[in-house]
Amino acid sequence: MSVNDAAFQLSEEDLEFLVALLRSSAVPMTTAQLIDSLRGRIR
Amino acid sequence: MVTTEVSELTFEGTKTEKALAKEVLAVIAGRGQFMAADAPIRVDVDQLVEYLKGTERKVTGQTIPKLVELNPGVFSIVEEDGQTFIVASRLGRSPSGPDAASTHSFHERLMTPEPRPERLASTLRPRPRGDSTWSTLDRVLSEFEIGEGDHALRRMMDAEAASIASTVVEEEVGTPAATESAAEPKPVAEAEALLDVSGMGDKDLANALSTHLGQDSRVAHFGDHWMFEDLVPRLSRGDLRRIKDYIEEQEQPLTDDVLVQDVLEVRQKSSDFEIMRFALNFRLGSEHRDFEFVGTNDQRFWSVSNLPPIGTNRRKATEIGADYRFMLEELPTQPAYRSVSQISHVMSFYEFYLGLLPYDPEIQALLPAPLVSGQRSAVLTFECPQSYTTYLVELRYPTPNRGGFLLGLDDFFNENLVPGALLSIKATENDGHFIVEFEESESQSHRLLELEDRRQRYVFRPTSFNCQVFEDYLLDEARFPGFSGDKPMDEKARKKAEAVVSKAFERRGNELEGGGFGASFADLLAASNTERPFSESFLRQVLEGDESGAFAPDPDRPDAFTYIPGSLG
Repeated sequence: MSVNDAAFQLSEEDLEFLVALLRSSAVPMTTAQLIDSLRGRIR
Repeated sequence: MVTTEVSELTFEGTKTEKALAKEVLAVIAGRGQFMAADAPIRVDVDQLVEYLKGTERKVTGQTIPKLVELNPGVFSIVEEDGQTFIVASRLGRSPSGPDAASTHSFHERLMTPEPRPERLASTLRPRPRGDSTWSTLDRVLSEFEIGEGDHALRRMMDAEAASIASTVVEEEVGTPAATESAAEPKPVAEAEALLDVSGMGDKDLANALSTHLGQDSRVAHFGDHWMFEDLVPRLSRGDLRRIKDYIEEQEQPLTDDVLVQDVLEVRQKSSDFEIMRFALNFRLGSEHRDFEFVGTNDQRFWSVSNLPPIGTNRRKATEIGADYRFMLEELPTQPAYRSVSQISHVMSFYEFYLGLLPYDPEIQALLPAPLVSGQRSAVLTFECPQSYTTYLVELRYPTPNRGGFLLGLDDFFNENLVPGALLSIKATENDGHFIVEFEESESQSHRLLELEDRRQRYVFRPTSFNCQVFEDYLLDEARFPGFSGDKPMDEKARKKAEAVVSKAFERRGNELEGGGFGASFADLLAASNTERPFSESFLRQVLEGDESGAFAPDPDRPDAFTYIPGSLG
């Protein structure tokens, strides 16, 4: 799967979820933490 | 006020009935003068009749029902527990139904609050949207002929235009039905999105985050870290000036850790340290005029424009990059950065003389990718446990017309190695720190090739060393007598790879009986690498791709070649 293909699969809702997550965090988050949160949202 | 409202109404019936209806409504409005204008007001019919009798009007028990019958839009009759009530509002409208009064009361609202929404309503700032005219992109593009090669691009643009157009249409239509359906949870659509995400690997997700989230202006992003932009502390002009002065004072690039502690004076154990470190990296990243990021994810070095260069001053970095241009073709199109943990490398004369290593496919697989887009170089640390020394090394990433290389190993090479030595480089957990070692051996002594700096001539000098070497790549006087007293080739001549290889044949000095020179491939690789860098594949390409016929495989020896002078154009 190419980068572009992958990028197109992130929905607007996922992005808004991540933005809200960052807004609620007082410290920087790593990419791995964001991915975990995204996966946690699915569960 | 009540009188005014009532006087505007018209009633049905005779003159007397109209006057009576008006008075009845006035009585009802008077009873409910503190109630809402359209709230139903109930008055007992018997009490009303009694009151009206007191005003000397001729009324009976049938008068009120008749009034109601004549003016159904104003009055209505309600019976409850055997009592009859006449109902009207201050505005003179018959209430729509008996439950109208209880549909929306404070009592109702306080005791039965609205259910909590499934998801909190977003209070975020609206994202910038594409203009609605983008939806006509398809029509505009259809006027141009699109070739086969443009189909992929066209598909991508179609998908993007469709998504933007659908977003705009959703926003612009705005009918109540559409709004309601948008506000409701969309289990099907959400399930689809979640399935997509769950099916993606971490690497693809990271790429997707970088592509989409990284472009969101509300989000601050540096390397592997993310933060809400409004929450990132800002650096004052004074902070920026002090950071710049400090780097200049230290005369070398400094890491974010050092700058946050020494300049911003935030202790490493402080709770603010991580935030300030992120803030420093993110804010300096937008100060392109004064600062340049030259680090890796784990070692974030920052540099300023007027620092002394790392590494040799014997040759300009741009010239070295041009020398390694041939390496661009050897690098893979999809680099697998940090995919190997250790490499071995045999050092050439060119590398030894300039204290550098080539950015070849093997080293590329060991080193990290550029962390930020457009990053030109990265400062790495190379630790040599054998000499208890750590060297600051500058990795110059390849550009479209120059090859990459690592500078700054002059001292390590001069103190420990000779051209032809074998060294190993190991990656560590820190992606900017490496362990460099050489294989030790018994002390040996040879007359080895050197280039005198002052006179710019090749000489052989007795040299003792105790590192393991590849004998074939050792440039000693016995094998390469032609170098003695010779000058390096001039810039113009050394640009021609064939000229450098033919010079290598002559310096090897192995004249053939029938004329010309012979040399093994290893001899040629060692000797050619004195003038300019050659990889094995590049040298074979020159030897085997020569159209003049000057070079030919030696029929008598394996992996050897011959050269007939005068054949080269």
